[in-house]
Amino acid sequence: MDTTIVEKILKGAKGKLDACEVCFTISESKEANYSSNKLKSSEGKGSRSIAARGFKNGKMGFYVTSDLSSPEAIVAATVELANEGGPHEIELPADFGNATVDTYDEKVANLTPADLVGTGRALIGIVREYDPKYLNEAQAASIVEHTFLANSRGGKGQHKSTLVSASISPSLADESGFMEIYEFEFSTHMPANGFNFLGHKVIDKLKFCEKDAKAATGDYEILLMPKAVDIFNTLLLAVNARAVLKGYSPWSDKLRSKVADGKLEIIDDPLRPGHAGSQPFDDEGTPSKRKALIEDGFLRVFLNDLFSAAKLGQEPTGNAFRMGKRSEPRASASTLFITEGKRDFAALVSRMKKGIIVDQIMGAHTASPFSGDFSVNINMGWLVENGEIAGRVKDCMLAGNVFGWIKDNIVEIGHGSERASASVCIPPILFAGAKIATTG
Amino acid sequence: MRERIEAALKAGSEADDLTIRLEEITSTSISFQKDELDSLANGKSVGGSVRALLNGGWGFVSFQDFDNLEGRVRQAIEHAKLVSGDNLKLPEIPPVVDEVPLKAVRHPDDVPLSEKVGLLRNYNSIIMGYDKKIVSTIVRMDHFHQKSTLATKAGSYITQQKLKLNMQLVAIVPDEDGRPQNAMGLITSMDNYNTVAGKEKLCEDVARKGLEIAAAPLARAGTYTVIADPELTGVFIHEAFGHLSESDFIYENPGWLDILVLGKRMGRPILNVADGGTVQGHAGTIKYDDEGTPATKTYLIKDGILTGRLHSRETAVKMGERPTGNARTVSYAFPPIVRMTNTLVEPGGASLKEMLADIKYGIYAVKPHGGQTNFEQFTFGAAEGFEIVDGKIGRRLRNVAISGNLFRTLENIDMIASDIGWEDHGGCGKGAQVPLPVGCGGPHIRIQECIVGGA
Repeated sequence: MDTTIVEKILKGAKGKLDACEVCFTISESKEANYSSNKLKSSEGKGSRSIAARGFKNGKMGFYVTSDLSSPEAIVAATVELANEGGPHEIELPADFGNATVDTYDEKVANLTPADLVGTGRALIGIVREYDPKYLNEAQAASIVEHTFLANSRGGKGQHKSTLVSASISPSLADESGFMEIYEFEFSTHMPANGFNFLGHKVIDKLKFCEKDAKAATGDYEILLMPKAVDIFNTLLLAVNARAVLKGYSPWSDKLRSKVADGKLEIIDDPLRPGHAGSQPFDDEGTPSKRKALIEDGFLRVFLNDLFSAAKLGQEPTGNAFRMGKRSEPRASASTLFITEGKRDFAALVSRMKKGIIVDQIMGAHTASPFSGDFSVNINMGWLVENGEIAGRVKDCMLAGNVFGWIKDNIVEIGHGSERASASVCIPPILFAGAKIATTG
Repeated sequence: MRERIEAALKAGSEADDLTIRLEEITSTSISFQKDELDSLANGKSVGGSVRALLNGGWGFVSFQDFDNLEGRVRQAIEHAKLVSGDNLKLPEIPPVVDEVPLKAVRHPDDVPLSEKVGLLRNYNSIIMGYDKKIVSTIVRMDHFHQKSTLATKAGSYITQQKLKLNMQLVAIVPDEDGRPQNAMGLITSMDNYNTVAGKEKLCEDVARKGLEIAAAPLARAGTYTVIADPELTGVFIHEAFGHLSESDFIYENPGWLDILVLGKRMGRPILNVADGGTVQGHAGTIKYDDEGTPATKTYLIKDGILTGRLHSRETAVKMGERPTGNARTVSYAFPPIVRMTNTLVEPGGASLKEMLADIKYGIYAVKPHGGQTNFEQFTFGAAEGFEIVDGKIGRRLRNVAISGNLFRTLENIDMIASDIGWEDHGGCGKGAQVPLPVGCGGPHIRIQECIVGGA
């Protein structure tokens, strides 16, 4: 990776800024897209960016650009912003540590557009062989990314990563309605046996949908599947040191208190190989480490960056990340894991008397981001009666409060973690006492 | 540059259709939180793409250096060759050469940084200082300027610009359980920085609403008659019906094609819904779409009947209909897909008073707070909610989220008012392409039998 531009920017910033940090990222991606069972497109994308933070008189400004033609222009833009910027007293690290984590797979880097076309075709073939009545969307993609971070204190480091992903989504539209199931997986390394497992996984769920079932307004047990995790986005805010600093984390004064059921343990771990959120140092250069956020139900630590760590008088946790390569590093999760229980999906279902398996939800972003109250539509859910899956429910809304649920309503943490989103990998969780509203 | 683009297009002569897009986007983001300036950022993104069609298969590449445009064209064609197709012949659009000017009254890029920061600092102090129960704020301004050039093998060469300025004011107040609740005020302009100046009164309103919302009871789950205010109506129709009108969802889907037959009754004769880039003055206003097709205004529902849909050239020819100028992309990093522009429920003849009159108990839902659809059901949040009791708007409720079946809900719109309002702030998401500027408009409407989630 030719990092000359970074050196030029740091050199040009000397004397104009008290401190400067530059992150240079280059990435290449490929994807094959299927729609209505047909291959529609093959795509290739290349991008690069310089993200610079400038510090002057205790203030900080941030400039990001894909235009690398003039390091001088980048320095000038960063200086202008630092002069007007907000207070941001931090000391950039001079040493990014020695951690390593394997997030690069040569096999993924060498995937061709034709390979991705083949992955998508195989997934659709599996579903069509089960039942040709479904129309399938599918996608397979790969990304290779190189990152170089350096600052004016001499700290510098590089890391590289690959990401391979596949998704399959069968749907069916007729006069009785519309249904769509979506399964995906992504990881830094090629799965040992490829992605065909997604096809079989989605067929299991199609079988649950063969019958319709009716829920009534009232209380139900809920088996929350990993992909419905969007409900818990508020938890990510609650453990965020920036939110604590700004007074809108409901857990601001709950450090070392019991905030959840004793069965709940949530870990943030940027050093686990295979996960997209893993890297050897965070996006400010603080060395990465594994940490427990919630242990035995107690809140142990807030995820911070250098600014919020300093303001709160806490040890840096190494959680400064850019949300997308065009934003400044701020406290957020690397990958969150929930420590698993013993029983898997089938065993959990068999212990449910009157419940709903919630596989996908809709409208999580309409919920209050600060209070934990949510009211979402169950996009894909199945009624369970006396341990048996009765069929698909529709027109159901699920309401509750995230903080109340994890404190009072956890029945059991399941076994069998799945990727729920870019930074969450968790097992199914059984809750009691959820409020369902429905027509009729 | 134009010569280089045209030379590159010639290098791609084997493609049935070929488009090169070059673009520059500059952006600014300023945010105060609680007691201080939290973030000050500028960004610049320069890039391009090539989109090639060969024997019905699409190839697409995007890149950030313009050195070897011919090479990029060849790469896109190589991608297209992998995708064997069905001999698709896109409808020809008369080539257009046009440079669409941006008419800004006061461009935010011309405003000194210190003035913008000062404005937000003042608004932030007003909200924080309004009442000590207000524990935090978010006061932010985001604006971007996007300039793109589209060149096609057929001879079109179009330059367009888009400017959008958003301001967001949030007051955060804990409720009696200590959980933070919030109230929000939003302002958008497509051409004038001064629209966000002089908004001290709005800051006070947001602060006051924050206190009220923190003290308000939760909505009770159930099925209700709902009156939606104009902005919420706009987002409702966007989610409940706009996405279903995007033909790339249904054009190769026999199940949907059977359901959405032109001429089908979708709602009562009072219902008229349209979408168009030619509707002026809103976030989705465009002159040409991102394939170079002139924008139009398309009636989706007229007098309650399914009348039209939104198209790209591909969906139009495959469905035997005309392109409508709805092929849009968020940026050079993505190919255009069928998207909405400005979508609205057209005003009717009723008044809000008439709508309220025969409601014994219902919900008045005001301003959108996000929405989503899965094509059978939709859901959207209301920023504010109120009870309607015996024909009168009553006490405030918190956390009103409304969901329902798309088709039944459209049929259940039983009154449409004669006013109109627009929501231009939000950005639409479809697949990975988010946020796309869109306008969502409508009058007050009354909907029977909505499911409202709640405690």
